[in-house]
Amino acid sequence: MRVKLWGTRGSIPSPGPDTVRYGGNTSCVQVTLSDGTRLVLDAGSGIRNLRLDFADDEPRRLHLLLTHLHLDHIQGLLFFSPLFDASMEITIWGPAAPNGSLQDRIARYLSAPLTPVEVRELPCQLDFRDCPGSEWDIGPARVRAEAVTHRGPTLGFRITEGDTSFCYLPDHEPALAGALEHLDSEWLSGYALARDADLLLHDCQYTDAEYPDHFGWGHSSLSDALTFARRSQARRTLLGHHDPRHGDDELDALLVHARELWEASGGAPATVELATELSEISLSARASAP
Amino acid sequence: MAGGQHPVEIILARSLMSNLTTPAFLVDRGGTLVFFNEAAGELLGMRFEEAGPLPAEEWGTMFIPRDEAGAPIPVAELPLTIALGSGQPAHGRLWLHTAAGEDRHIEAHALPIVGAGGMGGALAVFWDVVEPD
Repeated sequence: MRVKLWGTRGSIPSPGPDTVRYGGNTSCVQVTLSDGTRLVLDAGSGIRNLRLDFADDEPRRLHLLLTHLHLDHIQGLLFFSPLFDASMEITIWGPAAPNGSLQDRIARYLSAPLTPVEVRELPCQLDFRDCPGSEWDIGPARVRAEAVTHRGPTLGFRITEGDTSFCYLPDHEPALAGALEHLDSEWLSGYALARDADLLLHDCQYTDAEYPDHFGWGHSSLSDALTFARRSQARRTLLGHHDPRHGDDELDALLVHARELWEASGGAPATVELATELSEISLSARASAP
Repeated sequence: MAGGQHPVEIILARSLMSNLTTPAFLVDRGGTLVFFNEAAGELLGMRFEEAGPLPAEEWGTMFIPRDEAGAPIPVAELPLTIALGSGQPAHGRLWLHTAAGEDRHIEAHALPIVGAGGMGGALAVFWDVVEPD
């Protein structure tokens, strides 16, 4: 399984000289499975740069999984070239909601007066599906989606291929339910998705100093993100959904602090990183025990 | 409970209830009592940490619920059980015998908690009946 980060910023695209290294594009992650099956997680502005590069004999098929429909997770849709390719088969998965089908809710954004093109005009073969409440298979991977604590219907995903798993929780405020240190795991939002994941990408929008002014906005502080990672025993953690006000220098400082905290809690500092646009991570099958 | 974890609407319901000073009960979709708040603990004479999760047959009888005439109320006819089973709000007046040995006349209002995955559980808020002067 290969994971490539096309957008790591939260809230709004933040291009400029201060966001060159960690990136200014909003949420988008590409997951490529061992047989070449492509999954794209979220359609923030980062999706505009994503190139699928299908070989001539490959099926031109893609699964786009949306955690939720906040603008920073769908604003790149209209600039994703495969949607304008009639040979592409694209399934968009997303959270169910009581106020309309997934297609209707996305069409609120992809319609006048906000956009010049409507969903029904997209030439690709497009299919919208609510994520099921149980696990389902895409190619050789098993996908699990669960609602997590954020504002509005929001999912986290766990993608497992063989014994390798990637958990994606870009917008998540588990501390809404109480102090994470003390919550039993059954009350810890996202725990079942993240438990023992080989790679966890988790919301870390705020510093600890910023968080009190943003409690309830649906995002996590550094300490809460690290506590969640430790509780879930993820092997490697990427902290992401960077606040648009955090430039590269602030994020460098955040990483230093994150690794200090992680080490103080018994973790290996190098297993915590900041999500960096255009970085790519290969997740290999775990070595079997001798 | 999917994969050993409560659905998010139950997690958030508990968070809300933890911050209420109104007594409140929370059951999961199977009817197991998974939480009651401190205010409920004061009324019942027992903290949730002492009671722990309880199946419906236990929580529905341990406080000996009785109707206005003093007759026992079957578990299936308690507001919380009705809300869970019918998916509709339910309201009732009843007497409870608390762990502290007191008889309390209470009014309970129960609501189903329905999320994207269907019925997640139900919650009930309750308070002492205030008799008119």
